[in-house]
Amino acid sequence: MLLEERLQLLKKRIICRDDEIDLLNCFISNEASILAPTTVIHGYKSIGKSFTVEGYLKELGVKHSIVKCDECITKKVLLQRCFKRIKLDSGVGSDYTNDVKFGTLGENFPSFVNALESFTRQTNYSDHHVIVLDRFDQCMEPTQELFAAFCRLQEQSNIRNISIVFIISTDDPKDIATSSIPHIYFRNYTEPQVKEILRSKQLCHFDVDSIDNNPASFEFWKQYATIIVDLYFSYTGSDMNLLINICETVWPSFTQPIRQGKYKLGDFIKVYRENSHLLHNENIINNSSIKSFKTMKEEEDLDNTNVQDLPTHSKYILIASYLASFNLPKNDLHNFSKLRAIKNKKRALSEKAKNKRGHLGKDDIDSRLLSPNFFDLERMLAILSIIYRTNSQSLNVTDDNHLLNLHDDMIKNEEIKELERSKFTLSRNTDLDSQITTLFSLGLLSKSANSDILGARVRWRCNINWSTVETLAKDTDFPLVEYLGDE
Amino acid sequence: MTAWGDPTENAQKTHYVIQPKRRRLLPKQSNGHAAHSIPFRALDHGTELDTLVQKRYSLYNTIWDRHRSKIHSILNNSNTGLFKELDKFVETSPDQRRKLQIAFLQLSSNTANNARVMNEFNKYVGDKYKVVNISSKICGNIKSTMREVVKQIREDEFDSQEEDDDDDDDDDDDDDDEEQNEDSRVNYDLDFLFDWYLQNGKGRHIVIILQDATSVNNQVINQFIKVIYSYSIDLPIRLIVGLSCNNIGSWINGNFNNESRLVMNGYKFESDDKGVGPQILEELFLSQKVEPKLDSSMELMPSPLLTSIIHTRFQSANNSIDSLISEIKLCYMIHFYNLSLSVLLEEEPTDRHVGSLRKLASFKRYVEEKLFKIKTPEDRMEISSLLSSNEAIQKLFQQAKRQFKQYRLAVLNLVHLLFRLQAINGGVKSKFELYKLAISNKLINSVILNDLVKSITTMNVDSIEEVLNTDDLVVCRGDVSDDKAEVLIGEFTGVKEEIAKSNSIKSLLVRVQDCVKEYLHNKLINQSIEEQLFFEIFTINGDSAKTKYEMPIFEEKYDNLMINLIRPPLRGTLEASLEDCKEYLRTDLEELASVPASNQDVFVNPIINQLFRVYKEAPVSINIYDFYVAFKQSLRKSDLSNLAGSEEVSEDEWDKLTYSWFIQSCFELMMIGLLKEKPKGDYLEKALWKGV
Repeated sequence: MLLEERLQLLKKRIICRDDEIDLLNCFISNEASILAPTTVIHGYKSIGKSFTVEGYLKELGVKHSIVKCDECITKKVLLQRCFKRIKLDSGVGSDYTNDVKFGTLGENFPSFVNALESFTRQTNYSDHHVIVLDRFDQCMEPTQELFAAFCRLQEQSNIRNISIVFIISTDDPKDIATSSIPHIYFRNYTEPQVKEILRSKQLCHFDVDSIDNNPASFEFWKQYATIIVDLYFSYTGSDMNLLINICETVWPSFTQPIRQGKYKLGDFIKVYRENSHLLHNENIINNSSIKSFKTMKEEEDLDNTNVQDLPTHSKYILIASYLASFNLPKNDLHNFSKLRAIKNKKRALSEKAKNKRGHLGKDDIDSRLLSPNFFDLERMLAILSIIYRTNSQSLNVTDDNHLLNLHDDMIKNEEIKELERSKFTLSRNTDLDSQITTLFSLGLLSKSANSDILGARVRWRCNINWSTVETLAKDTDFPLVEYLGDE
Repeated sequence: MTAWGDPTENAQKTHYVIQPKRRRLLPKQSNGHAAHSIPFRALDHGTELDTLVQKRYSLYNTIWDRHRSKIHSILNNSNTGLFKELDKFVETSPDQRRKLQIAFLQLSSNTANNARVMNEFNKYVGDKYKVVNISSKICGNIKSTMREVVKQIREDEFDSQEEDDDDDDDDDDDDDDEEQNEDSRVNYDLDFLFDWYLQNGKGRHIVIILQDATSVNNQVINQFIKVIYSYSIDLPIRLIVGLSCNNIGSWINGNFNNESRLVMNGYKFESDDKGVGPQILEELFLSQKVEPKLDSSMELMPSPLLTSIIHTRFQSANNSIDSLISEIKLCYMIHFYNLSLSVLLEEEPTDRHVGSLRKLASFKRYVEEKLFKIKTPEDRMEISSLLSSNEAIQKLFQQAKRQFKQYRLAVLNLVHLLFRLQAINGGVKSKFELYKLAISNKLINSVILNDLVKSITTMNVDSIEEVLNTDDLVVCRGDVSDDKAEVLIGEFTGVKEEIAKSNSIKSLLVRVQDCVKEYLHNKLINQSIEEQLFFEIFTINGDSAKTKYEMPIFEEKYDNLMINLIRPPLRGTLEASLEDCKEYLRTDLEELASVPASNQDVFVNPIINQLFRVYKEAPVSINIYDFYVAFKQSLRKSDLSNLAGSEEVSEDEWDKLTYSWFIQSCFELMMIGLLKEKPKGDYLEKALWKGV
């Protein structure tokens, strides 16, 4: 337990967390008798949980190890790291060699306890030791059962000197009975608190000695921090990480006029007025804009998908897959066949059906708004060969437009052409298949489940949206709307 | 095997590969020929001389080596800019905020080309950094990804130590195989990086390349970045992420969570090899550069058919550079493998060759033309000497060779001139396309050409100066020269001087136009390549796949042996052979061979052919019983009962026989993928549609 004056010092260092520090002081102490075996610390992300706990433990002077669980790939790695940290931080582990094979350590919890026990026994390690399991709920493998196991560490083993602190940001897991375990809730910071914290320490500097040494530079920072919080608090809430990141991102360009000597440190308002556009940029919030390394210019807004440089056939495959996904198979004859009778029949039917139902069905919704359906590969290939035959440039726009070579036997040629066209198909060679797989690996097509790509059962689905397919259609002069089922 | 091509992975699989065990491979054929090392065979029914075979092979090698080095220099230079940038990026130390430095590499939509760029970068970097290559195939989950990273880092160690565990490849995700390292860490624990860095890596950057992030699950990417970030604080780790999308910002927005975005500092890099394909074609076939050493030798020209196939394939089906290169290589291979006359590129025609030369189509046409033009007895004499005297043919061949060189020079000059004119007018046709039109004689008298010539009169000073800049025209090459081009260049220099004197431009433009018109009145460029005598020897066409090949009208239907080998028409072949097995069984060749007469009349198609015929007429879903009945009806009992062995087959036995045939063939069709069993009911479903 910390004495009052040291507690006050700590509270001065870690501001806005007085109550929580008091609570920590209750449950975590350097006297084994009043040390709670496990403590759960709980609160929203980035509100200083780890920071406060670490600060407190340091002030307390008790031996402690912090394990960042969110960086552990599996539970095994987590347990191994716990053991390693304890060994390292205890200060006595340097000449300890484990008799338990380290590799099997952490295979399950008992093996971890086993190793820990033999370690404490051999080294006679009896100092109080606190393990902080930071972000315990964010380990890459689910850790619920470890929760309970860690809680019972003292019950199930001879180890008495080790206590656990969990830091989590979600609710308490069901596996542990909360009543017996002390539970400290960290409240979110309020807006004034956030301002106070940010203003208390200058995080960014001008990197020009003459300006940084000026006390006014700290004043400038305070004003800057206030502006940032005022502008962005509604978006960031009490997430300090996000706020600090925004501060750091905007700072260099915001303070450019001062570094250039255009304004003095006192002229905050002037600087703000000149740079206010920087603070209202959308990229600050989504922080996903990146610069080109060569030119250091920000990327321009473009359509996301990479379809422009696809070969022509791939473009047609995408269009065909879109049509196959968004048209119902029962309407295929209507959409893709040249037979007139079917077209008329279908229209008559659909009107009748509409009157009958009287309410909205799936057919009445614009297909662009629906999610794509799965289709059989063969159906897509059939659609592909139809639309390619009738619409592709290479089969329908002849060179004759460009070249004045009049053929003697024009009419005969036209007949042959018609015949050739009616037999033309893209699936003649394996190019088509390899293109489909390429489109799949580009993420433009997707397939059902985790099935073998060559299996008969595999069903496909297009993975592009309307705007993409529209640009594709424009690129290839394809009358897309004519083929879509909606009237 | 490279890091990209893990044989256990099949996400990109388009076909199954059966690899026979080594001992079952056929023993090497011991041919009677002395030239064992030469993969070429003696042609002309095996009577070709060994020296000539060797000559053909060495010709192929020299020509292809020359091309290969050209291709390599293009490829090597295509991305140096990018690689230098990346190198600089790796060297740059991060700012104070110590974020994870990520290079986002914007790549094309062709995955093969992307992989090549990455491989080249690996080569470029060499041993300077420790490079770890990861592809989406192993990024199924974070554990396998990390295992791969550790494995590749540890490769160093393995290289130095003894390595005799060959079958270390089974990377199953079972927990059993989590073999422990000597320092007893699990094999996906990145803590290993620290040890490695302290031991071997001091001062060396660790570059992790994620080849195709677009197809990696975004959860895995986020976890990966988190883990890598936690190490990058202490170690010099750089991440290079290859992406095929237009807007990297929005990709990040859609795939990275806020946490990952906060810890990274991304830069965008652009790959600049988009025009490499056309560049290679131009450099190989249309280059006018005078190379002193090779100047006298003969260059092969691609035929219109081949040009069109390569061009349409690249444009519309597969724009991969590697596939383009192998197409070209195969064409050369076929040319020298197949054509005994190909030695004539360098050799003088011997008596043996003369006979073959006389059989060429172009020679026949040449003689026929002469026949039409007979006026004097001398003409008649000339023809008869061509047909009888070997010397006359040898002389004619030399002429034709020279003529062909001239033709090539003229055509290339024309293509370059037109390309420039076209570029000024904002045209889109590539040089290779123009070349295709020129050699098939479609260019002269065409609308395009007319428009281009017309456009000269409306040009301004800048563009006319560009037209007059005739650096890319070559007048003289080896022992041949293009006189028309020389005249044109002379005229152009004259006009240039006039412009410098700032005379009125209008009249000059007309003069330029007249020059060009005059230039186009060249007899040589008004011929198609197939009108040249002996063009068969001087062009590569990739050979035809069928013995009787009729040119289709649509260029997309063009077909030759080369493309058939590289992109086999699997489906068509399957359907055609099921329909008619003659091409494979009981071919004409076989019939010529002595077959005992008694067997000849009982030749029956394989049963599967019979079933396929029924299958073709069947509806999409087929009732099994109906299918069987139809199949049975289609068989003629009298023909087949001989096969069954006994003379008389009772009705009962016949049923059994047909039924077993039916079952067997149905399964065969299922294996091929033509039939599917419906989960419920006694129905089969057609898996392939007709004419698709």
